[in-house]
Amino acid sequence: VKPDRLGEFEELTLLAICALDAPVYGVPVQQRVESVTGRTVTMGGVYGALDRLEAKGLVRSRFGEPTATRGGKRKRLYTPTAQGLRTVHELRQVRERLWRAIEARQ
Amino acid sequence: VTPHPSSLPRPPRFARLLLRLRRLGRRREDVEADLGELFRVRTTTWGRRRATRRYWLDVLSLWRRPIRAEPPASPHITPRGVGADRWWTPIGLLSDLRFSLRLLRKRPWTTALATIGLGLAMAICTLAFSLLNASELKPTGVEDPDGVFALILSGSRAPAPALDYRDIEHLRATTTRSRVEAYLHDAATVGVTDGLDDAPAQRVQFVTAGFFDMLGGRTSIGRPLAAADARPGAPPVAVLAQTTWLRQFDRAPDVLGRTIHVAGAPFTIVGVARPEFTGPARYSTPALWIPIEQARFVHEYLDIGLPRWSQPARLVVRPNGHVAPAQALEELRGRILPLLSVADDDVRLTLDDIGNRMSTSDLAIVVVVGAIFALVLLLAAANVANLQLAAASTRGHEIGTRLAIGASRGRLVRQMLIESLLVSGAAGLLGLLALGWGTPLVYWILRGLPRLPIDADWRVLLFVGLVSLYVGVVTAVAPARFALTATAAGPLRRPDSGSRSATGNGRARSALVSAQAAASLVLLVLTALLTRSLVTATRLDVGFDVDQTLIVMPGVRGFGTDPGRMAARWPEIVERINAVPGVESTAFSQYPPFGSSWAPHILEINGESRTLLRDRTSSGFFATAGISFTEGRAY
Repeated sequence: VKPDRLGEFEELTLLAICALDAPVYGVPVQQRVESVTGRTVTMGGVYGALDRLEAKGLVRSRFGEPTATRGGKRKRLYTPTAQGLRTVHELRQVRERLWRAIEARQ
Repeated sequence: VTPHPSSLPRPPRFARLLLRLRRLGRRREDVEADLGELFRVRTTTWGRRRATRRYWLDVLSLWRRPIRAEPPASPHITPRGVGADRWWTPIGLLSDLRFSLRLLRKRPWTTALATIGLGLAMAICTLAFSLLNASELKPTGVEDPDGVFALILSGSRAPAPALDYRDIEHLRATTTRSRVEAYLHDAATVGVTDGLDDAPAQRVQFVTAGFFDMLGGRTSIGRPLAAADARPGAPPVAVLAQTTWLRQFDRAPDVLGRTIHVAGAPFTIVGVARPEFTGPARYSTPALWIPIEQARFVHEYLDIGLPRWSQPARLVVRPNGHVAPAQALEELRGRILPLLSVADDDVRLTLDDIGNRMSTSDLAIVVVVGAIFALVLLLAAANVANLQLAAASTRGHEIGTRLAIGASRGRLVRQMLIESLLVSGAAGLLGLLALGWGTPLVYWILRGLPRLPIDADWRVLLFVGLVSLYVGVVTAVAPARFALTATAAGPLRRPDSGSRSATGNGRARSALVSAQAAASLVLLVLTALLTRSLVTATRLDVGFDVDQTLIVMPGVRGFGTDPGRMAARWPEIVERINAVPGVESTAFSQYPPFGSSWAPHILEINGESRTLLRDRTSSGFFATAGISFTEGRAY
């Protein structure tokens, strides 16, 4: 885990968590990323990204209550941390600056 | 209506089996549920075939990518069982404790041997520390003891300069930079009746009116001595020490107002000092305190009279507010020197810190004895560690089984630690119990030391707790090392396979045995040296007949204060003592040989300053004591 860098898939996962009503679990995250990107997203990839985001302190997780629809099993719920939200805003500013530079050249 | 899980579409069997084979630890619960939920959603929207293909893809993706089996523990919800194998969590602590007790009970002889051996060492160390605590660490009960000093008057010529009662009263009234009080020790019979035969002679302290007030001496019940008790015509009163209240009145709550007889004279008890209050002289805690002005009530017994005593009173000084001790001393010098009938150059005044409770030589004895005791403790600890290690070596199967069913090494080490702490804790309790009966033994061993009240206060309890903890941890190191190097398959191996744990275990045991042997050797050498010194001391010619000489301190009454009258009564005393069967001769000595007090005098002999010990004796003293002469004759 590289603490100071965020991969493309990690960024998408973090954005999906922020876009959904926190706390969210793995299934909606996978569905949102897949629907937004239009590419096949596996659960192994989502879990790996969530683990890395948690290790970097951008999200935190906890177990939810067991539900009957899941056979009495619990969901692992993810919530963006303050640092995660800050990172999302910084990423947006960086991209906007770059886009402004691109637009200025055109 | 929530459909029953069995009625929902189920993912492909082989894919589920593959998922079950993947090591997911505590992630399994949410991962399986997530994949199942996705499968059902996809079956509904895409159809079973596509959903099955995606399910396979998801399962395979879990095999391709590393998934952390243990996500960071959440502070919000701790799933059941999480942390059960971590040694620092309290989960399972009670089971470990129960298991340890069961194991210790299974090998009673080893446990008893270890506990008693360590308990004896702990008892010795606790006694040594209690002695140090009583003499150095415990508060004296004196308020701000660093601000109180003993005023020492010394001179180069005999007799040593001394102040009489009127001088002290004058000092108390005129000194402005400091407060001066005085006290005087003497021995007298103290009893609840006026009979003298059964009452033991005890130390009585005569104090000036402001003594308690200046030192901040407080009472458990009643009141301390006050200025009103020193006024002429005031009724005779006394304040008891805590020990006197306990021994002679059995802590009776109605002791106030009762009468105590000092040398036969009745005194009304007005208070009982707090246990920690010993006054400025820590080693000579009196049985009770009496106003110095009321000493006339015991004149008939004590050779002290107003205005001049047979021995000098001791002065205690507390400089006022921000006055430095040197400034207070300067003022005292200016006031005391005119009162003394000796040349100024012959008198030295010094302020001695009353906080210095134990002399350097006594402290050295305690430190050396403490070091020997620590060595004994080390030896006992090495012994216990060896026993624990031997016991751990036979527990290969148990440790291997626990490892095989998922116990972490931390938990195994914790188990060993708890066992050692149980043994060391029991030994600590033995040490505390030994404080009761071991105190007389310590005083017998260290006969030269002053008797101090030894009890188990919080410092002693803390010491025992810390030493027990330390010994528990130290003795757990070797068995813990065994637990750390053991493997689940260890018990299946042949004993001669030379496994790492077996080799390490052997090395640890060798090291412990070496440490034991080294400590035993040091102790043996020390014992031999001490025994030799003791034998030499018992055979030493001290210059008089030690076997056939007895020192008697007769309690006499009704002599008055007239020296001539007293001298006239001495022959009668000699006659009565000589009448005792077996007594050959009797003589008087002011300072008997090997007594606790003496009178040093500095004399100029041929231009050199020499310190001499002077004694006043009756004429038959040398013959009675069996002292022979190299030259000359006796008087």
